[in-house]
Amino acid sequence: MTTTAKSPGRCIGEFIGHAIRYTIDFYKDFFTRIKDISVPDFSSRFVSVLLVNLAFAAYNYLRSGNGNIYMSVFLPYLFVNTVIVLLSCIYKSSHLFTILTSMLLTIGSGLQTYMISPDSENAMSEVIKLAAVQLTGIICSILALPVLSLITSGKISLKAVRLILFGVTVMCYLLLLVAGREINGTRAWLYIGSLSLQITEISKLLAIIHLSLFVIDSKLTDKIKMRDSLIMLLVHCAFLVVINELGTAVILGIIFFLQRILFYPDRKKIATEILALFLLGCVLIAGLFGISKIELPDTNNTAAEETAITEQTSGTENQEMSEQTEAPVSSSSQKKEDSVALTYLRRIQRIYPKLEKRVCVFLGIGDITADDTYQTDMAKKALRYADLFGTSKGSLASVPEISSDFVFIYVIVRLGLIPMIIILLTLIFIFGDTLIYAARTTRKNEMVIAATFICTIIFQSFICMLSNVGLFPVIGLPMPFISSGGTSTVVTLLMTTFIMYFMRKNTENKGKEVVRK
Amino acid sequence: MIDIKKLLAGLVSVSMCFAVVIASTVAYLSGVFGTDEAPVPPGEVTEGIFLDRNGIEITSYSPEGKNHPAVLNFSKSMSHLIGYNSTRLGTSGLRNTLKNYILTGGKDDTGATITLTVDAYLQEALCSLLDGHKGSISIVNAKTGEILVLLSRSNSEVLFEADRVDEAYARDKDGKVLQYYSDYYNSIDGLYINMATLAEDSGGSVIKVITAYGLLSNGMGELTYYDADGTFLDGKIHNYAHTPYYETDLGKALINSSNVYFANAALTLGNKRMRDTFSTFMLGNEITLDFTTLNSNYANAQYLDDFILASTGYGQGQLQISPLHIASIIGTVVSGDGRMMKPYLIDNIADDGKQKEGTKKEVLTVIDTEVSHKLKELLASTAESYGLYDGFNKEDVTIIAKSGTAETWRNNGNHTYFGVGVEFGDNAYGICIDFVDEDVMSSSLIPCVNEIINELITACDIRG
Repeated sequence: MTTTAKSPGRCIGEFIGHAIRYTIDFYKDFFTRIKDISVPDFSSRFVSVLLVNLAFAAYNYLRSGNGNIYMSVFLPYLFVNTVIVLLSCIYKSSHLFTILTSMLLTIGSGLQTYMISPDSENAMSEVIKLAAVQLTGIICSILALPVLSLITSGKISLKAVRLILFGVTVMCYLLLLVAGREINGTRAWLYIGSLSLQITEISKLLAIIHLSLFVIDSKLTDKIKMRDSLIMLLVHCAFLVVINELGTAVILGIIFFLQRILFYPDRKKIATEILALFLLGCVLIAGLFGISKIELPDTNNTAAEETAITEQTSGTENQEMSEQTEAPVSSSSQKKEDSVALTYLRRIQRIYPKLEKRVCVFLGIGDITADDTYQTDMAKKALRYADLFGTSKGSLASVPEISSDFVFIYVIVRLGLIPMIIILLTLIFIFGDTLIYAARTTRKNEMVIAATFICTIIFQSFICMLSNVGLFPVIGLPMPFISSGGTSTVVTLLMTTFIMYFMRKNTENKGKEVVRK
Repeated sequence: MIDIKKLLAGLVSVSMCFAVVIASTVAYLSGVFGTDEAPVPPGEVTEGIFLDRNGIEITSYSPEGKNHPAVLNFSKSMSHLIGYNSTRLGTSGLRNTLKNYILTGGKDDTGATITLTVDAYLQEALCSLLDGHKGSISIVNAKTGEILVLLSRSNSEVLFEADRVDEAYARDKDGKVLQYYSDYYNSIDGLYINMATLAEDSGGSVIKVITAYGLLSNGMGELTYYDADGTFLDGKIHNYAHTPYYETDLGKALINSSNVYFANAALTLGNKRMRDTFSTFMLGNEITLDFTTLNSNYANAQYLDDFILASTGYGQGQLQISPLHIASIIGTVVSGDGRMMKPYLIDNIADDGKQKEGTKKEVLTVIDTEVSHKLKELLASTAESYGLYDGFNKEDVTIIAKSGTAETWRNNGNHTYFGVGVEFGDNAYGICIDFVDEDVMSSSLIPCVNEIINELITACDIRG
């Protein structure tokens, strides 16, 4: 697209017009592909997925003796998997990728349903709700595909797209700061009526796409790409740290680093860059430490706002702000509120002590209490019950967040070590399959995004697993496909659908050749 | 096209390494392939034990070995607190709250050792004060929040002994068990309830301490009232025995426990200030402790009938507060540093060779220190009027106190309270003793209070 001096209004109009035309063409091609679905191909994929479903149902029947499981649990999820099979047939994507992702989705759905007991009165409605979320994810993916395809087509200004993405993500963060709800110390959720959206999952997706667009943009030099993507990453991390969503910040950092290694040719300076980033990190942490030591004024004269004094009577200086005791309950002078600036300064003050606490808890040093390590202690105790093929013994109720952050413990204890190894191998095969396509493809732009998406899924899974077994600090990352969480499921399915689209084979339509590169 | 095939292959290799590390770690932690740390099937774990603050074993390992509950060494005084570990009923008390620690093996087949903040000998020594009564005794270190004593007696006739629940209560002539103790205990309503943490009744005149704080903190400490006939609000409210106290100020009102004065004080303060004052001491809020949740209630609607507001002011009305909460409030006043510490029981947890600090010390709320000093002086005079200073040197010990007798909805008698604060050396303690459903006045608790103070000071002197 050549750039000429045009008015902003005209540019926007052309942009929208182009986007609409592209979308129409995209869906025309989509429906053409639907007509071209081959029945044997669909049947073979469907049968494979069905066998996977049945195998999982049979495994659980043999373990638990519950014959109702299949009818009340797996049929709704088989419907979801059928839609995924349909999509993979439309794009003639990798058969292996389709089966393996369906398998992970089935395992995750089955686990989330088992956790609420398939015999309970609410089980069916929970199954339907989860299946509906998954279908929503697939529908959103189909709607988002033309947008991603347009972005990677090279036919629009990537600068404009990056600006839009950045603007939207900043608005997401501001919305969280203003109206977000804090759960377990993290302000990542927005409630719209009874619907809760984990906005940080959406911002993570947008940030990953944004980082990928820097790689794709051939108009920028590598130096500018790295500089601008680093600035963007730091802005994201600043917001994420303020809302205490460390997991997403870590994932974005890993993606940034991976893209640097994979997609920027000059790899000689990587060591220097790592050192520079490390020093920058030290400066930032020192800054946070300094801010944490600033004495802010109390805004009332009969009650202090915070307080968890750990060893005050013994004279140690380790004072930590605890959200449990923040804002003691109403007294007349407590009605006087902080200014907005003071509120956010207090929030920033809490970052360093929390970071320090997480590191100390992970390393087992410093003033840590049984409360601090409760989650990992209970996870390790639960692991003692693990067996090769799973056990129903041992209560997992003591492991906090068993359906999300610590779902891997559930997998190990209830399903067993063998299924755990199968899941690990599945992830590796999915990873390998996608990267093989990435290595062979000529669709460079799509490859960057697809490779980034699969790295996100895989590394997030590994970090979740490592933190569950105590080899990484607990940073609250859910396990894709397996953990609960509607927004996380939708985002994961969006990434998966795009990867399937990326893996598509060329197709021909009767009377009109439609070849996509 | 960037040639990244080698890098992508490297990435897959890295992920395989991650997978191997994860699988190996899981295999090690589960011990499923037979390591030195063999897995411990549930049911074969030796129950962990409880120690008191001085290392005395509250429970001890069963001499019969694994799979048998620990032995409770202080059955009379600790049953409500520690609870039972029964094959028939499961677990209760701290054994239930902390079962993930004491009933789950980690690297060994023994549960954790949990050190509590209670003083077992002190608790045992004070236990006899509750013989024949239903009630509780709570002692809290006001400076740290440590609970030294949490005694409960939930039935004046039947003594709950946790370790007996699986024993035979009645046998037939052939020796066959007809009834277990658990069946017998289950037949008695509320036998397992810990009275110290139960917010069932209003606190009575002890609540006047809070109203007094409200007056002082709002600059109304000089409020006086002329009580001509011992009644208020057309006789709806009256002093005990309708005794008039004529010209009454705050100090005199506390000593005489004048309902009329404090009813007037509540109306003078007004609904909003009363609510704010109550909230300062965490009334109306759930306080999550490390072993239970303390609840309390009071009439906190925006618009209140004068009678209800006035009743709240002197400790009746729709109030509900637990004895442990009362002990915390009195302790806050006597400590002088203005901090109301959150009561806690768990000092540290030792498991698998590692020791970790238990519950963090936490400040629930902060009150005005100047006001609390004034209130402390007034309540010291009240304590003196009760004769609590007899045998103590005022230079060594500061005692503050307020008694209370609450009418209850059960029509079984009154709920009598005695809230006491004791300060000596660097120590400050909040104490509450209460008797439930008895037709006695709170003054009858004075000998018990004297004994508690003596035992407490002795315990601190001996054991530090």
